[in-house]
Amino acid sequence: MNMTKREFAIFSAPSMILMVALMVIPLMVTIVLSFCTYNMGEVPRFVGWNNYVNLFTNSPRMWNGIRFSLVITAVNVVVRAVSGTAIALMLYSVTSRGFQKLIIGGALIPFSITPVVATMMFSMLFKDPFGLIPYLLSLAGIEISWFASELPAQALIIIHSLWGGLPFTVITLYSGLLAMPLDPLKAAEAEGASLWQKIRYVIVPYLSPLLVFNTMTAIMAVFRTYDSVAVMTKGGPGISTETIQFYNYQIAFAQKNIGQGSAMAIFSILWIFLLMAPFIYRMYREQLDK
Amino acid sequence: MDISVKKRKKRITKALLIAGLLLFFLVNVFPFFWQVRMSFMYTIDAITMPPKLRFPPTLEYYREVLHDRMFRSAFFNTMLISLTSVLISIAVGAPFGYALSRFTSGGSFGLLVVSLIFRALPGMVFIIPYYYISMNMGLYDTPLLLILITTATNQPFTVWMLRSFFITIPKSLDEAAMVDGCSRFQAFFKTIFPIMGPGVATTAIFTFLSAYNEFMLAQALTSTQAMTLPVMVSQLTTENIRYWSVSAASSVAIALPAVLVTLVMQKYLVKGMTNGAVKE
Repeated sequence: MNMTKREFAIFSAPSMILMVALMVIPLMVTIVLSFCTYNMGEVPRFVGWNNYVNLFTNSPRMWNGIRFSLVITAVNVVVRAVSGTAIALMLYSVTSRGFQKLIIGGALIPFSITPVVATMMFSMLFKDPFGLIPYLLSLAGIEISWFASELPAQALIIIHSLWGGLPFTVITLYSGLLAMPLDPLKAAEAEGASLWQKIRYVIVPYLSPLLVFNTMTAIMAVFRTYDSVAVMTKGGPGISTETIQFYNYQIAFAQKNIGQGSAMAIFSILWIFLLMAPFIYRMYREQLDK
Repeated sequence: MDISVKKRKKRITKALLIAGLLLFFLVNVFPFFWQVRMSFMYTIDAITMPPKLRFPPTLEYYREVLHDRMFRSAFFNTMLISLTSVLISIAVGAPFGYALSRFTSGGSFGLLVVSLIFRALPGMVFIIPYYYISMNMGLYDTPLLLILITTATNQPFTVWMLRSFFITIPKSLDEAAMVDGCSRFQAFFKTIFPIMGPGVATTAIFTFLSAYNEFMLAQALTSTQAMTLPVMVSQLTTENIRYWSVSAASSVAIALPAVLVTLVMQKYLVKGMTNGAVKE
């Protein structure tokens, strides 16, 4: 007996109601608000495309945010894919189960730690003059002011996101490797393939759906970086570490410009879709091939 | 001669592998270890460089943190919100996941894809309406608001995870139950749920972590009454050195539940990540 439409409707209703009420409807509200100006206490006033025009012509600070968010995302995607694969392969080559479990256990810490707590940990490690890292660097004669200079501060935000995100990639890629069929590898070995060739022509193609999945997850999570900026650098020095989500928050809540904030939020959605498009297309093609 | 060179190469490679993995391990664990270490040191000791190997340990800061009213209230709020969110998420998501695994015709998969797209949207898209609507409805700064929001925004992921577990249970099981006279509902409970234990555990952990670690939403939508632990962390400061060790103790105390839950249930977490990875 297959499930009937009616049964499906009953089983899915509570969840659907929750999601529609708390995600679909708010999205609609935000879209509407993006075409208005809205001051608390008054009724929103329709202003057409004004807010969007402002975004494009009058908001260099927003483009700064987009640029930095893109940089963080790009670095994360590349480093996670490359290092993640490398580390997963290393983990796969080690024979002791106990050792593998140890490494995975350790990898779960960045994954589970509250991002704001991780931010605090990094602050304490890197802060002049009592942090461990400045001290170690000074032993080598290197003086970097991590919070007062633009490039180091940006690097800090990137390091924070990599630290938190790489373990997830490693664990999923490693799990994928565990499920990898060994025959193609054996065939390659029989043909005298070198390690590098095996990686390039057998393992990476096998892992590619997982890599796509991980890249999409990374884009979704990293493009909207907010926690580390809000707690660690507050966008500074200047506006060098502002991400788009951070600036969006300031516009909407600190400057109380709801219309502009809504427009910016909708605009950032477009960016996320733009970034994910090639990968969604790739997944779609793979589904078709099946 | 040739064989022993090969053997040596193999041993060096293995040593390099292990060293590399240990480096990875160290990078992952060290920041947290450092924080824990600092939380047991008097501030004077914590801030001296080079780092001291021997120091008089103290529980003073933990005592201060655990007695702090704001911490206790935030801890209570965070636990209340996270645990309730997990309960409702599963109660509401399991039937939907089950339905999606059984009703495969039509756009049922499409529904899932659409909901996952919502998961990709940046939080600001939702926070703006949440803020103003909750202000008007008097829900601002209440745990209930955060419970509803975290549950709803986690639904796509929850349902997707549960569905992937339900799919592994053959339809013949519920069909057998229904032939025996069970209604669809009874079939759902009787045959499916008991087998689902690990699946539910995995989903519960992910949902718990997601709710517990939520920062931006909590910061925007609470002020004093419903403050959560992550928001409290953001108010700790590293500016004033006097508070360094207290901040360390606070942040360790805040991170600890999440880390403990993860380490205890790591089997399920890794399984969940595997499932998500090795697709359908």
